[in-house]
Amino acid sequence: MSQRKSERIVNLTIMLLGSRQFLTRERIRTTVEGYRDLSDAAFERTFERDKDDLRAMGVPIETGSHESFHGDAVGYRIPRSDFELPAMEFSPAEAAVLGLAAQVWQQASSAESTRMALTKLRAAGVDPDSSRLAALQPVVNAPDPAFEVVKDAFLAQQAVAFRYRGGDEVRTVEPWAMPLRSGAWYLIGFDRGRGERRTFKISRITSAPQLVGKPGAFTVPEQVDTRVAVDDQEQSGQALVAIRGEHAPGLRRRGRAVSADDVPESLAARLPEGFELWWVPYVRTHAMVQELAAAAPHVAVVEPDHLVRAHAEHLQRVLEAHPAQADEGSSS
Amino acid sequence: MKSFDQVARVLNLIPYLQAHPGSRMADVAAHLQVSEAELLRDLKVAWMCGLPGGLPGDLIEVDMELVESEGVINLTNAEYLSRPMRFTADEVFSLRVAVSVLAELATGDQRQVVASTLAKLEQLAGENAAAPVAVGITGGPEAVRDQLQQAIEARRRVRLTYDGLNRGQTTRPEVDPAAIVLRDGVAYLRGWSLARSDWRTFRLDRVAEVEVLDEAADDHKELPPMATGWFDDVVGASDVTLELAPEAAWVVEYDPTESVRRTDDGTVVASFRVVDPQWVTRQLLTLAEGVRRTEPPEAAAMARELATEALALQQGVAGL
Repeated sequence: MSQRKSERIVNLTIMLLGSRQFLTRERIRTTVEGYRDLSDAAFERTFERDKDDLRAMGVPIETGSHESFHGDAVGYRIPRSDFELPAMEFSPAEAAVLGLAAQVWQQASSAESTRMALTKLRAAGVDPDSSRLAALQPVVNAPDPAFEVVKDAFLAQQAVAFRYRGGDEVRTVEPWAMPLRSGAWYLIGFDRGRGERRTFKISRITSAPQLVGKPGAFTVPEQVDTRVAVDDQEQSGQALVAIRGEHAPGLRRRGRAVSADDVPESLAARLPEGFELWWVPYVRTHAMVQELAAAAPHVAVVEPDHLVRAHAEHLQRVLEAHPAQADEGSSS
Repeated sequence: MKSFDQVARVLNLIPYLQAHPGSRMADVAAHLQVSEAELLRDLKVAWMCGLPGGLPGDLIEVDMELVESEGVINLTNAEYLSRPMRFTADEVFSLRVAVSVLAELATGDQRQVVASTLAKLEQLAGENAAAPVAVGITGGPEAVRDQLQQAIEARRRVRLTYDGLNRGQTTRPEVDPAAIVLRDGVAYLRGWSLARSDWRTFRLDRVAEVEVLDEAADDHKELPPMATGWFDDVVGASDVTLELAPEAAWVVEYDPTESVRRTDDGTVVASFRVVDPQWVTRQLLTLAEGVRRTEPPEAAAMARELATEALALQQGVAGL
């Protein structure tokens, strides 16, 4: 059965593709093998399904009329220029990039899509060979259950509704962009409930997303800012930090060592043996405090004052969160 | 098998075979990523299709005898299907994301090649490429990636200046580099560590410098597939359970867990397989009251000791 269905749809494609004029249903029915023997109702059903299948595959079927048609009858055709992949030359080096790109995706449906796209390029005479890029083995994944529906909505320009971060409120969003940042997928779009642009981390969607309304129901703004906003309420600045030897490499790497000659004597006297001073830039106080704590006990803050306090308070909270065990105390 | 998929395959097979006349079954199956049995079924569909009219001269011609006797395919009389179909929106998006990831990893001359590949793809895709694609990875310095790639291709040994993951201290391991991989948005070098006599993984953003040595890399066995969890390939691990406050629950998204249980108030109880006890210590120092409890409780002992020491140090330096 399925073999015959494939034949029927391929034949339909060839017929519509070869025609400059719109072809009526009647003409299609009498010509394409597989429609001829069907009852009126069965033909209508089958023809509609076949068109849906073709459109889902990305085949552009145009609908239109012709002066010779009776009444308001419509006809169909497939414009060749919209159907065919345009000609394009790829250099061997570019073809190698394509071959490697086809191996990047781990998520099943996207991996299948890149493979299909590559076979189309092969059918157009491109020969992707990734062996010359053997040193690179990147993998992209999208393990979040919500990813696929959100992507469908994004590509179809259709609104999507979901609950976020465990909240009860249903967010309805017109997707504008799906950036991939540091391995995490985000959705940027117009939040209808809030009436403004919002960013969502897809792993924090907590209900199965539902498509809402029709595809193509809105237009994406010409320029979408795809940066994922960081919390910019706090001021960035420079911290003067005492660091022991080769510890805290992350801080040292982005910082600048203070020459021993430039350290005032009063401060030098307070520095323990083996410590040096570094100017370290930071953006968010909270993130900086966490970084400093992770480097304990090999760092101490000299200025600014608010960071000195924040660092000490953070360490205090670590101690309060994990009080000493009774048996530990007695054994020492 | 959905006949939907078969139609797409047949509409692609017909132009492919015209562009590659006299191809062998096995090669076509490999290139188009189908089995030979599937390919034969697809060929039989193509063979029954053609221009409307259904007369013998209208049908696509496939020499089925040659297919069955020699495994060689010749398909003719299908000039009206000589080009593959355009990319679907999903194909364009998936390919652009993949090439954009490569663009983030590329170095030197490769950058230009990857950029021109992406531009050509977008030109091919037309309005399907209108949707914005944005990719950002943690790839470390370009100079580091460039030197490592060249060392891999030239099979040379390197010495890294490396910030150890949990120890927070700089080391200088000698490595025979094998591949640059990307997992969860972070680029790593996989290579043979001479000190450990085993495969090791190094985060590229923690590599400060690469020194390409004069020695050739040894020929090691084939690089084994990368473990899915970070700690899978290490023995001597122990389980530690952390009770995380809602604001610290993101930890389970970044670090591989053994099990995760969420409670109604947003608290998350997650157990981790821990190889290096310093990993737990770092989490406790970083998250403070974000970790409400550890199991076993002794897992917090080192963090408490370090925090106490750090507090004394801080008070001394601040002159309090």
